[in-house]
Amino acid sequence: MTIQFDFSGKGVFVTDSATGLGRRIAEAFHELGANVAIHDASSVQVEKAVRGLGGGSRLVAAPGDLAKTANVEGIVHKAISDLGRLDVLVCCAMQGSLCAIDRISEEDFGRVMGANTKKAFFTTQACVPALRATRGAVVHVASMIGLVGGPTGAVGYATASGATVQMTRMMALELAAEGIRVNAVCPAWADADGPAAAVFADYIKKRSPLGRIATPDECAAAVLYLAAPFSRYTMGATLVADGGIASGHYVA
Amino acid sequence: MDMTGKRILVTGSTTGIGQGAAEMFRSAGARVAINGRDPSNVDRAIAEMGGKGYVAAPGHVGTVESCRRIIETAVEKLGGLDCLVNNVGIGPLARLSQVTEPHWDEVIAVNLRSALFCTQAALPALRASRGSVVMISSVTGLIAGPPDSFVYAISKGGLIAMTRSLATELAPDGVRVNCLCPGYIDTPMIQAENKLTNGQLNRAISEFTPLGRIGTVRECASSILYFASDDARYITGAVLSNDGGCYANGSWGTNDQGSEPAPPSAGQGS
Repeated sequence: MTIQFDFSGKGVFVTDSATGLGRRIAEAFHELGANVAIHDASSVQVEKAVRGLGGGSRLVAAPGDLAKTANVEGIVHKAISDLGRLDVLVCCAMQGSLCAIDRISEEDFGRVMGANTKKAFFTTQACVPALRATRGAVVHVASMIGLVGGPTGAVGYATASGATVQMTRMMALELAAEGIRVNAVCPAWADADGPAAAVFADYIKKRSPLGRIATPDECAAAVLYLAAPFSRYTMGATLVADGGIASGHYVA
Repeated sequence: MDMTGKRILVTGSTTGIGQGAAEMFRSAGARVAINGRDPSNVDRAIAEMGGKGYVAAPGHVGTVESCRRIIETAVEKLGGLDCLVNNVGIGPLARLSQVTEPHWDEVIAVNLRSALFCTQAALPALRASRGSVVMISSVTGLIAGPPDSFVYAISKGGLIAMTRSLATELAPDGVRVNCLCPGYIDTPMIQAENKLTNGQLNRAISEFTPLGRIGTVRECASSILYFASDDARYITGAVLSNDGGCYANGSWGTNDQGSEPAPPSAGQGS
């Protein structure tokens, strides 16, 4: 059995990949030979990330606000055209936020659903024709918060993550006939720069039998596995990279 | 189950599972607020159910403002609230490639956002009564369902996560939050769908449901009453399927060409 992570010549689009976990995922694909489109709503951030990753012809800048659905087609088509082909789409929004049920507003709810599930949905929809041509793979990055609740105030993010997990199953079923695989990764991870990161990190540390949050590399590894050909019989799966939290935890 | 004196609001209760639950709550002694988009339809449903013990809380849950008004009306007319059943749901059909932004926004607003904001608006009353919330999700929230109920399924998956998160957050207040996942239930919505498929839907249900038949509204309503009852007072964050075994065997309906069961079409229900 040959297990290899070789993405040479492949086209990979990672959303929200200028910073944080998305950037680490994009970097990993790049290291493994892929042509990678770097995306962020801010073109300045994208340029910074492309330079930070060493530049060169295998990195493509794909800036634009994917949370504005009307923009999605244009951003996606430009990215795919610059990549030449699309083998892997990674939707890595991870826009966690904390807002207690009493205080959450319509705008908060719209923002968290829009920045996570809705954005991933319409980005995937726009990528389907290109993925059909390569019999490619989609990986949605959600959160273990969508599987087993979370700290007080996580209701918006938990709802969006749970919806993303179910979206993954539906997409897997729908796109199987086209040869496109769709899976999800649910990490227990918190971007150090993200909002309420300390709360998420503390929540995870207290509950994971490993006593710590995931590293970006550990999350990226799960994404690489689901994007690689040797996981080709894995469809609609939710792979946790959560230090054991979703299996249940016992706090002594 | 004895519901004497309990004050209940069921959203989307002029037909289907919502109406069945309302009737069962009423016959167990509760007072029930009936909700639907159209006030005259709410009045008709109340009259059909015998009138006494019901109050009207009409309104369309598609906007947050309207969710608040519905709750305000129900709480005022009932003099408080012991259980909110977030039942309302729509299932307009669209496959992945056909989903537009307005379709997405409408289904998410009615099926998912309304549950959050109805719960938020009901919180003062539920805290006062140490009451509970019942979310009506679907087997399509647990496993992939018919491909043309795409956004419906996403909204139902979101409801399950919302249940777990809110159950945790509201536990210190003594407010319980649970979730029911019905499979195919014999509602006007499903009957209409069956007619459209010339009986194919019912044949698929018989073939693929482990119990071999569609569920009844009463069988579904009894789970809702259980969650709302004092017998369930240690139960929070639970996700219960009421589906004749579909979730247990991981499938419902069929993928056979041309005989794919259609999901609920537009209308209210689960």
